Amino acid sequence: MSRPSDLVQGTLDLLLLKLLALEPLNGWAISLRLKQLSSDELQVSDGSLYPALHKLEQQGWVTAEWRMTENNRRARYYSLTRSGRGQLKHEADEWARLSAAISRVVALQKA
Amino acid sequence: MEFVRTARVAALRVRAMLRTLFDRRALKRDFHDELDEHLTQLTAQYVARGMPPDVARRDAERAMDGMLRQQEAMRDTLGVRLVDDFVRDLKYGVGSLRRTPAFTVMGIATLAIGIGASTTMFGLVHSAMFRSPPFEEVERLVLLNMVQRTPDGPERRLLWSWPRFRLLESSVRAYDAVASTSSVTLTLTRADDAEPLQAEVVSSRYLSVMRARFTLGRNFTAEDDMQAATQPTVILSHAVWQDRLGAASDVLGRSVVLNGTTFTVIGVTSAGFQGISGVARAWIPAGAASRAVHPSYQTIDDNFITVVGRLREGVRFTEANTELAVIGERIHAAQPVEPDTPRDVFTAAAMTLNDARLDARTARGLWLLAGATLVLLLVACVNVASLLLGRAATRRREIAIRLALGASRSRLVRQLLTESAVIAAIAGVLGAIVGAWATTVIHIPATITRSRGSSAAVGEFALPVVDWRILSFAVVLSACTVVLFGLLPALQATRATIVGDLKGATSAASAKQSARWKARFGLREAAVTVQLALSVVLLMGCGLLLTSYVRLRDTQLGFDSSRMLTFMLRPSEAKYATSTAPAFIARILSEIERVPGVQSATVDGCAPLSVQCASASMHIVGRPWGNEDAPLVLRHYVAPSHFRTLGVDVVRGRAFSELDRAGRPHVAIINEAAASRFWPGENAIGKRVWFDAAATFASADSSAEIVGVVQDVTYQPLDGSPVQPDFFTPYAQFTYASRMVLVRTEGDPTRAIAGVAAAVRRVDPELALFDVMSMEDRASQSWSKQRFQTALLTTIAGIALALAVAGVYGVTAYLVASRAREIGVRMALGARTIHIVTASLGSTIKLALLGSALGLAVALALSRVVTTMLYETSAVEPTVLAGVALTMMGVVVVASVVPVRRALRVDPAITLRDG
Repeated sequence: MSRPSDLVQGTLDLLLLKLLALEPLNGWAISLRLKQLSSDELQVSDGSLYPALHKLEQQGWVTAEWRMTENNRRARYYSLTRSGRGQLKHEADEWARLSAAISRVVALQKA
Repeated sequence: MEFVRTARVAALRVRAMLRTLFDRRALKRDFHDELDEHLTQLTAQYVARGMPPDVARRDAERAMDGMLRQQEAMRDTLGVRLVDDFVRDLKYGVGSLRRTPAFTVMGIATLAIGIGASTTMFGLVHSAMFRSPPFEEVERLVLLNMVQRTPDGPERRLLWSWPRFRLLESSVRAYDAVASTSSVTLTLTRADDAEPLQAEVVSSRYLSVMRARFTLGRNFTAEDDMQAATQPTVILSHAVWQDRLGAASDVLGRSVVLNGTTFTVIGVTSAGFQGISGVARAWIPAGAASRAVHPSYQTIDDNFITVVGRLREGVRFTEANTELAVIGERIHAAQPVEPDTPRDVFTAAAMTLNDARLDARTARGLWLLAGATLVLLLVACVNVASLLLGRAATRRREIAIRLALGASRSRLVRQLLTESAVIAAIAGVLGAIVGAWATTVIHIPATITRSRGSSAAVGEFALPVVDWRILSFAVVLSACTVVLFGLLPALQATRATIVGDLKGATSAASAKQSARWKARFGLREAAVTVQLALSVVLLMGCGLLLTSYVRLRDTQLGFDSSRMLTFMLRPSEAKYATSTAPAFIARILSEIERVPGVQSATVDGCAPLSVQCASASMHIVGRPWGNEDAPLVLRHYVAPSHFRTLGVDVVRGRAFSELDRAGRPHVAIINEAAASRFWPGENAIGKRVWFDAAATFASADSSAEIVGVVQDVTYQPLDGSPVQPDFFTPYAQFTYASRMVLVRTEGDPTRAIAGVAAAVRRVDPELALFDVMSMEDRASQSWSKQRFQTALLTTIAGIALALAVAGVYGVTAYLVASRAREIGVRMALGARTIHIVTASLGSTIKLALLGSALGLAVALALSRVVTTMLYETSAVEPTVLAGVALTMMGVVVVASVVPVRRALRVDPAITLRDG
């Protein structure tokens, strides 16, 4: 299994918040969705996914509850809270600022 | 906003922690289930790609980096590491304490004693000083006093006469109301018996000032007061209503006979209310007092009435006092307080009920005991610390290994402290139980020197109650002790260098190693020295109080206190005026002297060792006092048989005889103190004196001739003050009807009580015997406070000494054990037992000397604290100093010899082989 580029530190939170903003998901679904949406470019190691989710829960940005999956299995579903929405906006803005700045620098060098 | 978020995150974290602690299994299942779900999905994916199921499962597991690490990581994110560590430390600590039961039991017991004693003392101090008297909004209740300031004398707080109280009542503005009360003992007469009833004579607003509540009926009104002379009314306490009137619901309107006067019951207070005296069981209006208590209650110029006020809402105490100072001067101008001299300033002042209720001596004694208890707690903590230091020594390999394996020092300290916390927690529980039990058993003896402070009739309300305060005190104290005894040993134990200790114990001979042994022993040595010093301080205090108490008890009282029955007769003075009182007393005495078992009987205003003796200003015919105040002397109106009955010797002149009757020349007898004070170097006999009080002798024309001088008798309570001048005159020439009767019996005085009571009732069936007590009981009651303090301090010092001895023993045993090899070698080489014993003793004796010296220095520095509580004992009493020093040396030597001897009994061959 080839190792996709490591996630920039701190961006995992942003991605998770974004995914959960769309709909409540369980851990497995999140890892699948991450791969799909990023065309397999972004793959989260399973070892860091769950700790990250629990940290978000601790921060009060997501809540979790046990629900049944489509194929009738018990799974823990995470959904975004109100303060999670705020945090998502905040982190997305940060990301936009940061990536724009980086892009500008990179573009400058190419020219 | 930020705050709200922080709070919410904190709440979530706390919930997670609690969950980790209390819902561990569910939490684990959650983690497990969640990861299991993921694993199942992953395996299914692999299988869908064509892998065989078992291979798929294995690969999936590998992809997930193993379940365990996942779970660890998850728990970390929950921030529950601390809780987890604590739980682990707790289990570890309990386990290791279990493995060393001797240490554990010793530590817990020592600490439990310290905490138990401290909790008990806290209960006593709290109940006597801080717990509010049981009245509503008690912080607004104050006592009001007249204040007499003499330029070079102490400030005296006086009570009020009724006329002065009325002036006060009509002029104060800072109070909702002020009210008067005085404590009296009435006689409750029923069809077939009479019994004393403690009561308060009050102004009509008293019960509302005190915020008394009523079970039945109503409070006094102004009308009750005005009609009291013709239609007296009474309010009963809940207790009397229940015990004496069968809790009858129709009690209102019924009659009760008090001091021969019929009162109508108009109310019953709610349970628990006992007035400001703390002992009242009935209340009668001041207007009724002239019939039932004293004919001139409302007119006499004596200051005997207590005044209590309820501050108006929002008025500050200081403001009220400013107003009162002015009013006090005005009242004195209108109704001069006697004896007045131009130099004295009269004013008035208030004090809070809480300040007023406690005798200053009681407070000082309690503080002393509280201090002693804290010292005891300290000794206990040092003892446990010393035990822990010893324990750390045996554990150093374990600790060194853990340090080497990368455990952080703070982590290890935390672990050791957790262990200490377990000890403290168990000790705390035991201590709280001991404390709760002891507070209910130990009673602070009710003070009988109350009249010296403000002389108000205020109860002490010092009944200890076990409540949450006492229990939380024990909890907080236990937590504090963990730091006190646990921290230093924990720091010390984890300071060890890794390398030395790993090769450690086997190469005990290495110089470096032995240097460290010494260093560690130094700390234990210091602990023992501190312990000894603290014990010496306690022993000193205890020795001084003990000496003082013994001297107090052995004081020559000046009379024979054995086989003597004493009681008060309080007939209403309205019924027996002073004109008929002598005949009344004569009948009483002759009836009593006819009772079988009675040798003789006499009367006096007071019994020896009490505070009730009346005093009067004394004048000598032909020697005016001029600018000086006439001196106050104690006045006694006694029977001819008085000195014979008490066993007091007549030193010069004669005793009274039946011939010294009314109508015969007035005569007086004085004690030696009076003779030497007023007629030094002269013969007092034949001199003539008169007194301000007691109309019969109230002028030079009716003066009495001194016919005799008798031995000094201690009439005042023993407190080291000199015997006062006493002046006796025959009751036949003047007496009040209300008297203390003193009866000399042939055998046990208590067996005469029934016969004497019957004799009294033959004279007047309405009379009850008050305050019946043998003279020996009266004497022992008069030093009950000293006995209480001494007993408690002796107990505390004894326990501290025992703990210190245990400490010395422990250290010596440890020292000897660590030198067992050396001792074995020396024994094998032929050293004599005595040499080894003295060599080992040398170091502990050094400790004892150092500790004693330190302790004595501290004790002497503190001596000022105890001086005021001592009776004819100096704070640097040589016998006490010597006694303490000898005791200390003795116990230290014994505590050290025992382990040394034990070591010597072992065959040297064994120690050499094993060591």
